[in-house]
Amino acid sequence: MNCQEAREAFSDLYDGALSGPPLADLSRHLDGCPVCRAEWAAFRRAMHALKDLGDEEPSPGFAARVAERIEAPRWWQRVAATLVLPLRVKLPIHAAALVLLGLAGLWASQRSPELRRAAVEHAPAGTQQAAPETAASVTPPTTAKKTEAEPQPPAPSPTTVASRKTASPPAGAGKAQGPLATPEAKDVPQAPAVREEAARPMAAPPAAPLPQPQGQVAQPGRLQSVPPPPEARAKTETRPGTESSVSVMQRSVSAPAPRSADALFSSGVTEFAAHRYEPAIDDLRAFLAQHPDDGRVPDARFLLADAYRAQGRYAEAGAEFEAFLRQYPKHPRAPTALYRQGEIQLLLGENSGCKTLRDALNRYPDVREAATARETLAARCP
Amino acid sequence: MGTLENATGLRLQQAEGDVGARDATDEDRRLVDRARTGDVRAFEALVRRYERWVFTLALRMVGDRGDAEDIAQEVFLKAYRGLQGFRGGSRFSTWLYAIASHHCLNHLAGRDSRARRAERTGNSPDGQGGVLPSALDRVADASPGPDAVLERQELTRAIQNELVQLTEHHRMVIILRDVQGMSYEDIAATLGVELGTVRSRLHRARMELKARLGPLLGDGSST
Repeated sequence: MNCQEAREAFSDLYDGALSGPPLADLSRHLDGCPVCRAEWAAFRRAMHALKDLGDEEPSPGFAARVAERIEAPRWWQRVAATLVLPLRVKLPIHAAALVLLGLAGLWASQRSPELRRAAVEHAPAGTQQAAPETAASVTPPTTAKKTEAEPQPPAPSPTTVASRKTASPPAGAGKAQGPLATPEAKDVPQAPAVREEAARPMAAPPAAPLPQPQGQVAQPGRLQSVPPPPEARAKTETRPGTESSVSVMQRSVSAPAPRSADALFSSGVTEFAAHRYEPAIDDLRAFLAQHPDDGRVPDARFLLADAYRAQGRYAEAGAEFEAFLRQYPKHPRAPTALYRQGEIQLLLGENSGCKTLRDALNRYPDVREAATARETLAARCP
Repeated sequence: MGTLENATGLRLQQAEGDVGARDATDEDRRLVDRARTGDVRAFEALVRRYERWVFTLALRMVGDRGDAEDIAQEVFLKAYRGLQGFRGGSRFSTWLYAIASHHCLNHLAGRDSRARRAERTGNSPDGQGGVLPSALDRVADASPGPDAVLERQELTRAIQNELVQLTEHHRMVIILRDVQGMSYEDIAATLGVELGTVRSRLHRARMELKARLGPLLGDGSST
């Protein structure tokens, strides 16, 4: 058998498909040809590397999503369902839907100050003047009733809440609310402008800040750019039935968004790589707790154990490596984990570390950690 | 010689695998019968049994998790819609693998054609001129560090990148055999080709991959 024939047989040899004389010929050739022996070793390494890629799992809930797609009617089924309905059924449904839509629109326009304001803003100039005053509640109620045909809604609207804070804070609230405290409406020189600001919660702050009276920290128009302290915000948000759009937006900004598996894992890996082990541990622990079915859990567990080790938290590191080895004995990082476990046991003063390192050397003599382990054994395990 | 031990081990594994395969086939048959009557939960159970297999095949073939998940979903939807035509002449797994394999090949053929069109118009189809790196790979790229996980991810990505350089048919057969662990006979049945074709494609694919991975794995002599 020459070298070319030997290499042609590698695939069968790897699959165990050779036997008898062909296998004996190939064995003889490999025994006598160092080049083909090296090629055969390289072939096996490549195949092992490919096999080590391992299985991957789709994201959690995959099967349920497939089932959902199966159960959802397909587009042509939906179209057909719409088309085949007889007119005597469709017409009453459509008519009822139109009536409901109209009623809902009417109701919404009565209930919603934004819509009402929009209507007023697009109304003739005479009417437009009165609307903001009504919204700001700085004109007497009688005037408001004259200029606005719609009755006041029972629940204060975001605009009126914001404006009410501006115009008439509760007695004693000036000091108690701190930055949220606002001057009386009559103290504000540019009252219409302020009211306009208040009516647009996310508008940019005025270019020139309004003069602030003694003891006043913030102008209403600057409420958005200078967030109030937590206690003031809490007070604003907990007033029953008076939640302003500003407070809603502030709360949505301050609420921590849940982090995805990708975000947590990536952050954990990045922090680890940057030697910031504490946040790495936090991220990896959160990842493991929140995404226990993720395909990257073995990697995360290994990394978590290594982060503890890097921090000198050997007891936790040892426990994590032990759990990792128990759960993923065939993981590609299992050899490293076993060596690390042995070293940690020795660091913790446990003699079992010698046995673990010897075991690791027997099982995985060719990995990078083996050389260090031999030195450790020679020095500490006579 | 280690090779002989390897062969014996493979035969033992095969014998053990046969028993497991029989049980799996019976369970599959029960679930398929129920799914045929419209029991979506039974089909969902089949999906759970095979999602890992189908997803891994798709991922190794296309190299991108998002694409792989889309492909896997399409494969199962196709299988569900085709259940009435599945007569049980072969195992459900073989039938499903055939759907998955052909769907992957069709997807790649479509992608190649999209890529050619994009090339003509001067746009890269995925914006990166090749296989999109996963989130992990982006992290690995951004933070090369001493830790072992990143090294492994880098190696995984490199192997995956080399894998997708093989021709689609070579890639398919090497994945089915060396990643999914299928027998030559099952691969032939899945792909609808002769055993000899499987053997020759596999040999060429393995030799090419060995040559490609040589530098990565520290084989100075690899060609």
